[in-house]
Amino acid sequence: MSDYTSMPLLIMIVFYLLVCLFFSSLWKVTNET
Amino acid sequence: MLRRLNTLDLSKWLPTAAALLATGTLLRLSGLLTSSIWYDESFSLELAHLPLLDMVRLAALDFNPPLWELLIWPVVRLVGYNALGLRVLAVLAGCGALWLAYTLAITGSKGEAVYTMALAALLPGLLWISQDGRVYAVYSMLYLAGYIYATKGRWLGLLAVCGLLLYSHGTGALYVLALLLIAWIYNSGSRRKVILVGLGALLAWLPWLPSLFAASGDAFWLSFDWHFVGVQSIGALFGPTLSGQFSVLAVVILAVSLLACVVVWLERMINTRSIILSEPGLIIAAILPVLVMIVISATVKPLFFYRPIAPAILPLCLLIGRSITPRRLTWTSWVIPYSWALVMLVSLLAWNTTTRGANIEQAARFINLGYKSGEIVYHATGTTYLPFKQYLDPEIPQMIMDIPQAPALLRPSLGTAFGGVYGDLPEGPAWIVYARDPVINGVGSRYMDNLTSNVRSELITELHAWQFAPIQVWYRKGEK
Repeated sequence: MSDYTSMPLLIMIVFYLLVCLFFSSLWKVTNET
Repeated sequence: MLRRLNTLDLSKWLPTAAALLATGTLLRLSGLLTSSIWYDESFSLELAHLPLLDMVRLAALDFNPPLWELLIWPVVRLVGYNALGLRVLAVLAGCGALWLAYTLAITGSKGEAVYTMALAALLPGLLWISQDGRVYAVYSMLYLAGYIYATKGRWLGLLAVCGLLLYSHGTGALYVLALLLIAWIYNSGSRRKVILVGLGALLAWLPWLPSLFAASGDAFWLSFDWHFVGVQSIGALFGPTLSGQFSVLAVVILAVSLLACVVVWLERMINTRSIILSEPGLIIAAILPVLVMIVISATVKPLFFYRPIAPAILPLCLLIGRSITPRRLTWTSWVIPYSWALVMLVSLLAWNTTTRGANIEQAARFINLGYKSGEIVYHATGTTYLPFKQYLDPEIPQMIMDIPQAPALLRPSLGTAFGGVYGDLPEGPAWIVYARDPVINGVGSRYMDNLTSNVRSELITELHAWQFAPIQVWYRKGEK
C-alpha cells in the first residue's frame, strides 16, 4: 500500500464496486413487492 | 417496504405522515442555491475540478476520505462547477434519507409515524446538511439504509454501505461497528455472514488506511468540553440559529427525551422480564456511535462536533418517535411533544438559507466592483482563498500569507495544487481578506494585525456564519 501511484486506482475500483453493490441492493429491496 | 405499506390501513396515518414527508422535501429543496459556497464546499469543488486520479491522490493529503468528491466529480461536469452541481446530490440524499425514515416510521402506530416524521422532516439540522455541498447528507442516508439492511439481513447491501461509510468520513468506522452489532443481534442464525461483511468492509478500507494513519497525527481545530458537546448537539439538531434561552430549553428537552427513552427501555425489560430487548436496533444506531465519539473525544482526540454526529439524527428521530408516544408513556404525552414543537417552531422561524454560508458572494462583488488594475487580494488563510476564488473575477490576482498554519486552514501542498500563491503582501494598494480564526498561529495573526491596523487600511465588510470564524474584508490604500 505504500505504492502511492496504485492507491488512487485501487480506491476508484473499490468505490465503483461499492456503489454498484449499493444500488443493486436498493433496487432489490424496493422491488420486493 | 412497499409490501408492508400495502398491508397496513393507510387511512390511519398516511395523510399527516405523507404531508410531513412532502413538507420536509420542499423545505430541503427551497433556498438550495441562495447561500454562498463556503470554505468546506469550495474545497470539495476545487478537488472535483482535478482529473479523477489526481483528485484521489490529493484528497489523501487531507483528513477526510474522498467519497463526496468521487460522487460529485461526474455531477459537476454535467451540471456545472457551481452551487447546483455541488449541492444537488446532497439535497437528493437528504430527501432520500427522509423517504427511508418515512418507510420505517409508518411501520409503527399513527402517533409514532407522525411524531417521527415531524422531527425528521422539520429539524433544521437535517435541512442544513441537505443543503450543504458536503458528504453529510449522503453519510446520513447511507447509515439509515445500512440500518434497514442490517435488520433485514441484506448482506451485500450492508457490505456496500459499510464500505461507503468508511470512505465518507473519518468517523465512519464507528457507524460501521454499530451496523455490524445490529446485524449480529437481528440475524442470530447468520453471524458468520456478519463477520464476512465486517472483513469485506475492512478489505475495502485497506487502500485508504495509509492516508488515515498519516492524517491521524494532525492536530484538529476542535476542542472538547461539555459546553461544546451541548452547543454542537443543538447545532446538529436545530441548526445554528437557535439562540439564548431556547438553546437551554433544547438541551433540557433532548436530555429529558433520552431519559424517557431509557425509562421506556427499562419498562419493557421489566415487562418482558428479560434484559434482551425486542428492538434494540434504534437505540444502538442512534446512541452508540455518538457515545463512543464522546468517549474518544474526552480521552484520545477531539472528534465530536455537529457534522460527524449527523447520521445518528434520523435514527434518533425514529427512537424518540417510537419511545415517547402517548400510549407508551403517559407523563410524556404532552410535555415533551409540545416542548419539541416550541423549540422546532422557533428554530424553523429563524432558519435562513441565505445566511447559511454568510454572503461571501456579495463581499467578492464589492472587490470585483472596486478593483483597480495592479491591486491584489491577499488572504490570511486558504479558508478564504478558496471560497472567494469561486466569486472573484478570474483576472484578479490573489495571494495567501506565507506563514505556516494548522492543516485545517488548508495545507500549502493543497493550496498550491488549487492555484494558490504564497508570499508576503507587496507594497501598494490591496484587498485584505482576514478570517479571524482562533487557530491562526501567533506569528500569522501578528502579521495580519499589522497589515489591517495600518492607518491606510479600511474595513469594508465583515462576514459572519455559525460554522466558521468571522471574515473581514479590508482595503489598504497605496502610499501617497
